[in-house]
Amino acid sequence: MSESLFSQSWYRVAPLKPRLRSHVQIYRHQYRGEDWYVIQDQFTGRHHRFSPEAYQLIGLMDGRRTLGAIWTTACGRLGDHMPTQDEVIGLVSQLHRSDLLQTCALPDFADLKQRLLQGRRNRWLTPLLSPMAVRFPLLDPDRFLNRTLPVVKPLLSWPALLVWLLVVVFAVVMMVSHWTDLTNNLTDKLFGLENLFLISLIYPLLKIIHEFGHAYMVKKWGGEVHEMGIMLLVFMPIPYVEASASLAFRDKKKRMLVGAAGILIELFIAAVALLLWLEMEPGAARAAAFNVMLIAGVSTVLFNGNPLLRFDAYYVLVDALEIPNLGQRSTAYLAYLAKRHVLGVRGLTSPATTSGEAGWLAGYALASFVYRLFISVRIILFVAGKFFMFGVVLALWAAIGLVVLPTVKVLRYLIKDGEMRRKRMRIFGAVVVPVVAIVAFISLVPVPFSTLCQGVTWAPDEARVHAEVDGFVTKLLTDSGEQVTAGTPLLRCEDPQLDAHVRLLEARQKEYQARYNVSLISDRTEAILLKEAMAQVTAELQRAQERRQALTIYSRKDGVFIVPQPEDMIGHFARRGTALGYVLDDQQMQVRVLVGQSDIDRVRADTTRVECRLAQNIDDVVEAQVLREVPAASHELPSLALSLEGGGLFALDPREKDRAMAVERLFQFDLALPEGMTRNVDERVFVRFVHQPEPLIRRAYRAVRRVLLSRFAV
Amino acid sequence: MALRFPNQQQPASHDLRPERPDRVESRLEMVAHRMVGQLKRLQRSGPSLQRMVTTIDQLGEPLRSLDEAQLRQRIEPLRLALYEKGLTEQTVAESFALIRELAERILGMRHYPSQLTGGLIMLQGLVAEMETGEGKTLTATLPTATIALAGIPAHVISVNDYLTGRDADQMEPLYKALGLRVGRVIHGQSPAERRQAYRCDITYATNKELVFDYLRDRLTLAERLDPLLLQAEYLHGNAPRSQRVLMRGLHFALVDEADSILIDEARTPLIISGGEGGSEEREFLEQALELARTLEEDKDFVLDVARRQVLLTDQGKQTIEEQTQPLGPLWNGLVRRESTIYQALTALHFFHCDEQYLLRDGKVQIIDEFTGRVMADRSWEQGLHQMIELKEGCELSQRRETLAKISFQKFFRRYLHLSGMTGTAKEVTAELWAVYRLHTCRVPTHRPVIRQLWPDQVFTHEQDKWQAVVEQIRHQHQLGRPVLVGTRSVAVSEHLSKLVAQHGLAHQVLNAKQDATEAEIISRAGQAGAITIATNMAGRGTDIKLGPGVKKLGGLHVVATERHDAARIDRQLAGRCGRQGDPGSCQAFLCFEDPLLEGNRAGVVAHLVRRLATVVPVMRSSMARWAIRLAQNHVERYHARIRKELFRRDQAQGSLLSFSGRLE
Repeated sequence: MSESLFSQSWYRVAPLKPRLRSHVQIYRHQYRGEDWYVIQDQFTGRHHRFSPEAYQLIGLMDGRRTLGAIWTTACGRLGDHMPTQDEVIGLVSQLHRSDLLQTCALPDFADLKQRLLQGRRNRWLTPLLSPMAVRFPLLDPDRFLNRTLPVVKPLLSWPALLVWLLVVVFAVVMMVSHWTDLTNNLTDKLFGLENLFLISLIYPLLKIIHEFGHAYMVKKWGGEVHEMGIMLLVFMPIPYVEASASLAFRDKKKRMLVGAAGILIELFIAAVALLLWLEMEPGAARAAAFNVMLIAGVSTVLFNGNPLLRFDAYYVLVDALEIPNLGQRSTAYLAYLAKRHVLGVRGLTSPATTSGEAGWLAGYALASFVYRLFISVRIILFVAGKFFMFGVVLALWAAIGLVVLPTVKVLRYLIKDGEMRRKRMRIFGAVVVPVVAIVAFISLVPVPFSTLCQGVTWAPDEARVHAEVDGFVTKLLTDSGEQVTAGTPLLRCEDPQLDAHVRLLEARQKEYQARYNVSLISDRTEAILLKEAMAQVTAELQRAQERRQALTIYSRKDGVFIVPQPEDMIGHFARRGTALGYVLDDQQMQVRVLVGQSDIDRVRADTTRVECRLAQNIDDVVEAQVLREVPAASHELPSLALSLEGGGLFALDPREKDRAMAVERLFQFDLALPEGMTRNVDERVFVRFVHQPEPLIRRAYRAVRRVLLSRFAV
Repeated sequence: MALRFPNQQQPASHDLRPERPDRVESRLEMVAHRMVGQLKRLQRSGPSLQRMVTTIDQLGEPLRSLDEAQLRQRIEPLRLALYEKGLTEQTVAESFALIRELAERILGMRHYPSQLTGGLIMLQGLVAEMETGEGKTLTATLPTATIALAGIPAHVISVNDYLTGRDADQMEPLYKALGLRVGRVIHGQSPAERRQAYRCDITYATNKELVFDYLRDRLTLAERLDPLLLQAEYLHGNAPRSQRVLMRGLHFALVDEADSILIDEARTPLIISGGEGGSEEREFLEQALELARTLEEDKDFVLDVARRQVLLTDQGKQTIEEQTQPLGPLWNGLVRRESTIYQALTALHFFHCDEQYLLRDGKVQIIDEFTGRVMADRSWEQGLHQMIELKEGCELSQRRETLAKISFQKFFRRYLHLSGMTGTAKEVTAELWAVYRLHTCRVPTHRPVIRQLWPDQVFTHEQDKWQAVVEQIRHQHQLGRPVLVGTRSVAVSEHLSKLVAQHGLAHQVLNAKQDATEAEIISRAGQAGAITIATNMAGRGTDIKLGPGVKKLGGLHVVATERHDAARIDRQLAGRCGRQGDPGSCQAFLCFEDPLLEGNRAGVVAHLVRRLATVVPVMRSSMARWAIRLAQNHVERYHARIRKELFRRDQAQGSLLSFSGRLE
């Protein structure tokens, strides 16, 4: 039996006559339809939540009854829900530790002293252990708030909320319509040196306003605010206000509004800043407005306004759901689920006490973990990019907090816990075996592995039909797709200028011929000169005629004549050397593939097979052979089809206006397709370089290594 | 390196009652502490001990020629020197030499060098591990008398009243000669006698009595422990409490059989209870017992033999609810209902007459698990005792309310100086260090041990085992050797006694029922041809003197009929023979039906090996022995873990309950 009604230590506490200390106040709250009692300690400003069962006991503690009598009375009242003696001891001990209890007994002075020392040590140790969130209380703003409240109060009213709504909605609309202006060169603007300076000025100011929002909200409903100071959050000084007095508010809407006040104010400021920014002339004021908008907006969306992190929105969510301690309890709930279903521990009580809580708890635990992981990685990469060592420290810290410590905790529980000792076989079956299996699978079992690239079908140079001279295409002598043999005329071009030139030369030849004939008689010297000139003209004419001949383009070999867009061809001016079409024999269709730098090593060193899928015929997988590879990387894109704009994978370099150049350096591979696959040139081909099967862990290692190399060169 | 002896002197008075404050180590401190322990083990103090022994020898030489009066004149200067200089190597050596000389003249026993070494070890606050039969009682006189001469009250703590009385009686003449007073604290003394005993320079005390006296003092003082308050009360006059307080503080303790007291017994806290608790209605308990009898094992509840726990199944809980519905309002509360049935089931299935308890004068009396002795005036907690009384049809005793409670672990940690001696500490060295900061040091034997350990006999069935045991007893008896048979419980000892009687062999039985004639039985056990069947009572500390001519026959033969939960206890039993270089032999008769292998307490591996032993024909006996050894190891580890958890919980509970303002 897991719990016994009686405690072995009961004799020590039974004669005590406890009572709550006089400065303590009790409030009744409702959470998800159930009563809870919140005890507010006005000395320390702390709040403690107790179940109705606990309250039954606490309510009986009047300093006259003994604890034994209290227990008996409570048992009578609570029936089946009666607490065991150990539970009562736990409760009283908890009250005692929170300094809420007075008893007739002389306290254990040694223990008191130890607690004092420990408290002092903790005050020093806590900042050292969690350097990311250190608090320095500075002043008591209560009187100041009291005096200024009448001034501020109108701002905390319903009409003010209406104004807020109007402004924010308008700003959102404006933001959407000016999205591109806003995001243009965001990072450049953000990390300019003078801008950082500006931010460091604006940021604390914004946060002070934010905190005062909380404070005034608390004041509005009669709470007290006695502490204000500076908190070092990730070494960044941020003002804070101790607004926990709101916990005593019975109405959850009030509690939520206190929590949300800061966000509301920041959003409003961001909205106003946005509107100003749109209206202003460029200058320092406009830059300031931009920054204000950015800080107030971004920090709200990413941090304060996000309930997955323990900032303002979290507390709002907690109150909205009426699930206090959502964060801790959701973790506890996951642990409970694991213990119950994986380890088969029986007799546990679920942390989810009311219906509907379970879903929230489980969902929140998962979502917040994933989000924290995500935001941590982002922050670390971002910081490490700027200050590498600091990033490393941060990464270690995050890894310990998010991964190592929880794992150690779980392991310790599995190994050391008494209950778990009895479940060795179960643990072995439910935890060790699966974990080992997964680890073994990841690190040992080779998994099929390949690199995916894109390429285009590509005709080899000798298959291209080039315009040999400049000219307008006038006629296709052979239709596209027809079989041709070497010497078949394919195209006819015309060059009117060339024709004129030929005629001119012909006339000139005639002229020289005539003059020569004359000079033969009159002047022999001149005749010799003219003969020379005539030979020159004849040669020129011959060249021109040859060029004219070349306007009709013949096939150089056997194959199929292909013109990509025959209808566009007529009237097309072809410069010399322009490819007009192709004469393809079946062996010759190639694929030109681009491989990024990150994949090149594997593709080169370890490719067992190359599989292609043609865009037109996406279902068929054909095998291809690597014909050649270009050893050096270049920016050049063989086809626009491979650019992001053309539906490919690589971004075009916007600085290059004329040529298709990729931003990154790429390696080219030429593959030979099997016969008769396609006659389309420049067709997109999806290429899969198949590698040796490899365990997943090596792949992950390489990926991490690559990130490190490319980002930090380590 | 130099030896270090306790040197801080705290006044011994009823007001101040010095003791070491409780301290809860943090996890890190524990780890560091364990590491220090490992380092300390490497440290060798052998050479310096040897040097000291030589010095003592040298100092002792001139004393031998002195006459009685001259020797007595030496005592006062030594006492002064110890007072002034404290315990230094010089003063300790002088003191040891003098004690040794006096012991020879008065007791006729001169300390061997090995005993000097043991005394030095203990004086340094360590545990001396001395082979059984090496004369620990005599060894203890060296540090005890030295400490007492230095003005520090010394407590010598042993496992039972018999040993306390015996040791004190034996050694008192020596202490008297040194001018030291000796007190005894055993069961059944009046407070005045006890107070007197604690005022003596040296107090021989039984462990439980000592702790109970400490608890009684705590109750007397209630929450007002402050010395100033006590002194003020004294000045105020009428009946100051300091005059009712028994002890003068916890200065120096020498724990005999340290592993038994500090380790084995640490599992059960000591409780003082008062009779003012309300008595349960007999009817209610009867209903509970009745209902518990109808519940079926494995359907309504599961027995966890290893942990001695009953686990109620869901079905069982339901049955209980249905069955108790018509029984009235007392059964309404869920927790109360189930805990009462739980007690009833525990009483029925885990507590058996003549094993855990025996019936004497119509009362249920608890038998101590480790010493095999009756613990009078003790009762189980939380109504369990009443349930067992009801089961045995006894008069219901009043349910007793706990008044004060302390564990041995907590208590002994409070001594300013703690030391110990035992024959068997090897296995628990680490634990002694971790809990009590006691380091263990082995003392070489004076004469080589010639005890023969005959190989264990392992049987599949209990019947065969008993037959072989009786056969062996008969055989040894015919040879004329005295035989001591160790059994695990009263019931078993009586069973064996019947078997032996059937074979017409005259024998003696020593168990909790015969505790009145213990000394007499022991004194006869070493005579030629004696057969003694005993429980654990004839274990630790029992010195069986061999009768005339027995040595020639081969000394005492010890037959062990079962393995205990710890190998140490088995070694203690074997240690009854072959003492101080005497001949002797020991053999164990074991079987697979022994309680050690019952249920799942032996661990999976042991069971596998046992299976293997029954299936595979080769190496059967060595495999069987191995299985039992494994089972014992498993149980030992289990107990060690339980003790550790108990200790942790005790410490945690201490700080949890700090608000109550009472320490015990």
